[in-house]
Amino acid sequence: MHRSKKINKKLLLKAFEKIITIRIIEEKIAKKSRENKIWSFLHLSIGQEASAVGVAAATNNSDLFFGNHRSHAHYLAKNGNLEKMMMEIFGDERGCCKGFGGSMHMLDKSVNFMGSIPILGSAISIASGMAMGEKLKKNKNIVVVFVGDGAAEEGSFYETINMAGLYKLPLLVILEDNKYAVESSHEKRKVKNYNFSKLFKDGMQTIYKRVDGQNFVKVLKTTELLKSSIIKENKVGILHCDCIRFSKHSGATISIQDQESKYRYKNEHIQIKKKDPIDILFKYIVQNNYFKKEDLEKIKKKNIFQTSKKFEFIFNKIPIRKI
Amino acid sequence: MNFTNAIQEGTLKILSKNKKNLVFGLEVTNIGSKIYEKYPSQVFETPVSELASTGLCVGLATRGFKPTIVYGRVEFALLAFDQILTQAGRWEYMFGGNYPCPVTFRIQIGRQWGNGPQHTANYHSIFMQSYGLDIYIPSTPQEAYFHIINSNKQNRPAVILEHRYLTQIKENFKTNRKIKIRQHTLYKSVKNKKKYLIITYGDGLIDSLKTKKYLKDKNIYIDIMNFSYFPFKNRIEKKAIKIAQKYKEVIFFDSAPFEFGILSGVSSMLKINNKNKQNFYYLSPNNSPSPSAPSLAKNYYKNTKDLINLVSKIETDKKLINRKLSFEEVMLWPQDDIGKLIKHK
Repeated sequence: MHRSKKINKKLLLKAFEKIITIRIIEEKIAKKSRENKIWSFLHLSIGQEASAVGVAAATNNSDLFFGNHRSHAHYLAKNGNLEKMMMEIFGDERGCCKGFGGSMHMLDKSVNFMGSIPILGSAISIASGMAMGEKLKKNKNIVVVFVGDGAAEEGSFYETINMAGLYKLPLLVILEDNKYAVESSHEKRKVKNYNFSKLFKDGMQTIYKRVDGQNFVKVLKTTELLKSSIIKENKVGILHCDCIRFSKHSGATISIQDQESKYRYKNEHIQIKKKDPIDILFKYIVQNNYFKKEDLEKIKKKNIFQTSKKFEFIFNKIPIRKI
Repeated sequence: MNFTNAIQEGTLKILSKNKKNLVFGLEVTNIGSKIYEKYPSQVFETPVSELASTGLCVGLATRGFKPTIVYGRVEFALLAFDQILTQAGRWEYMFGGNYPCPVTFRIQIGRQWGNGPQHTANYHSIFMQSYGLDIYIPSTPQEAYFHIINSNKQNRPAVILEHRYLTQIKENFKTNRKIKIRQHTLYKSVKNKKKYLIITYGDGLIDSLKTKKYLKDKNIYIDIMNFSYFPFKNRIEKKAIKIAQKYKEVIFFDSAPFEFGILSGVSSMLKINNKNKQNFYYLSPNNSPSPSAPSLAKNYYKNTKDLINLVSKIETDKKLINRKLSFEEVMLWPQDDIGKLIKHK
């Protein structure tokens, strides 16, 4: 069974390094933004890296990804080109969208990251078309689309789940539920006892699973299961990841003031400390004897150092316009 | 063949050319659907979910397919505007190029008797102002046929606005010839005095041609400039403006409210850098929705009678037609052979 299968050591290490890389890159981007060196809107994935990396690790290189406004993590998890991503964010014409898109438009077709768009609810139906393309071409790939809990309130979301089910499309929807649409919580937006499971499983006949989105291993194993079910059963899959957004909705703020602010749930700042995806994966690797704690610490430090160096190297290539 | 048949024949032609040409829409697979009977693996019935099914077509277009999606009314397409305007229209631009999205949106638009305020809107100018979309507005069966073929040949998103009013007009034409797509067509009188010019598009052409024919018998000669293709980079070609600037009396004939519409744009272009003194006249409905009851609707759209009387008033200060037009003449689908009207000399 998938669940009991031991995870490959190399895969775990790669995922650990990837999560750290994404974190460091985004923290550095945020810092530059606070120094007014970014000419673009910014939506950070900090805190939500495990769902992106877990899904990427469970899928094939040939599977297609499509993202949303908060897609730096999805792009990097799919091995999107870092230099081109940074250039796009910093407003350089050598960026992944030649400077026309900005931070909300990530694209690297060479690794099958097919784009990201910031209009909520649009991404899922476009991804369903890409999935239909794969089906008509008789490819065995699935299409993975990342949506937030806000986008999952759009009519287009429900329309697409039904339509993709009707056409039996190989579509995997990753619902990254960080509980907030900008700063509006579930309670303000959803009917009491809103039931995702009954709606999607019984109502719309999808294969629906809900996991702790902060936990790489859980995301990985559940995505593997979902992918094989999508192909075997010809049904749409939904992976509902409960995530925590460490940053504000937009901009470069990652602060205790924001994490303790009134729009957030009570004691969320404590949860943020407890549920950092890096720490959760660190513990898993050590507790399951893949690496000794000291060795993993060294790997972490080395990765932080190398990523920082790489960031600075790329950053120095970009002529920055002072805002 | 009539306008509806021409659209069907054009669609059959593109479906036969490539298996990656697909058609989506509500009721496209109904019994009797020729396109579905002949190409069942390329024609897909959609749920009543305009936004999702349009997004699906956008996604397919980005993956090497050329889907066409059909909307029975422009008001239904409004539900999909995010995908049409914000996604398809800007796709290649926002991703920095080299990422085409060749999807075609076939949208039925405009007047139809008894359909009232929410089924007869004229939102042409919304598409005209949006980026990245080629706009086709056929006025004849021949144009409808070749616009479908041509939009399919391009590697860009296209909107074909099909005037419902024209569904039954007829025209004989050869489908197996190569045709150069024109942004506008100038229908000239034999005695071209460059005095009167009617500028129109879509379902305005048929009334303009009838007017031209009627007035010719009275020795009043009229030319017609009909726009039918508005490419995204150069909506109105300068050549057309230069030609139109040569006429003394210019009549803008529109079945949509004039203000801020397509002809309003043409009118303002004519006025720029124009050394000739021109008189402009405007015939169009008021800026309100179309009512449903025949007694109210008959005065809403302008028609051949209004055009003839406008010209004759300029010419002789008299109206030529005083009789009341019948309900059929004003409201029902015209069934004229537009080919004969065009060829009329």
